[in-house]
Amino acid sequence: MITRTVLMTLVFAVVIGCGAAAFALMNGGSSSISYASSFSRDGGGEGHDDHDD
Amino acid sequence: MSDNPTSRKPGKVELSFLMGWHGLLSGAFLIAYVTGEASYAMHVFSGVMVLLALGIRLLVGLGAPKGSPLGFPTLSLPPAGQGVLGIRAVQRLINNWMAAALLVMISLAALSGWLAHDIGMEGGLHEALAQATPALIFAHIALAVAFHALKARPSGTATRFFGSPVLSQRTRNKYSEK
Repeated sequence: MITRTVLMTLVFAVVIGCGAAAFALMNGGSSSISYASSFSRDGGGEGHDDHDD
Repeated sequence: MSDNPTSRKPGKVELSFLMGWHGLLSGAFLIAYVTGEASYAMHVFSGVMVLLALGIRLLVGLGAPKGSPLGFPTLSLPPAGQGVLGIRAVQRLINNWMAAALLVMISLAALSGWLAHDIGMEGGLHEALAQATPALIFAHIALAVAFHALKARPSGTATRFFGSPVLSQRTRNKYSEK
């Protein structure tokens, strides 16, 4: 019973998460996806090197 | 044992509805909580799903016939003349109170969020309620796991832990002698 309850929560969380992400993208609002892409586009993260050797 | 005589075990359809509803509410709350700081649009969408789940439960609870598992569970002890309270009845009562507290808290958090979104009410109350809710959720999970573990043990284990019948005259006498 507990396993099924946890599974149901996770399944609904994934479905609602997808719906919420689609809603955010359609409305042009900030989402974690757009934040992640702008972060990588702006040169964030590892391996970025400004020096020309 | 004197469990609530009007309650019966839920059927397959009723159980599926209750589990689906629990999944919708908990899944939506989880996403709303996680996206609180990350994405406002996602937070609003999942918050609306929380309100939808609460509205559905309210309508079904109001429309359910008396004694149905879909009706609102009782929060009161059985009348004094009905004998001692069984361990299952005590567990059910604790669960009902826990669920009621959780539903009130989630409803207030969702409604305050809606008010903050629609009429620009101060968001401090919404944030405070949302921050307090996980404590109740963890208590709810802990109780569910503990009661499930007791149920899974051989019969009589709960009796050895708590004494049976709970609140019996013998138990009361034992502790009043000390």
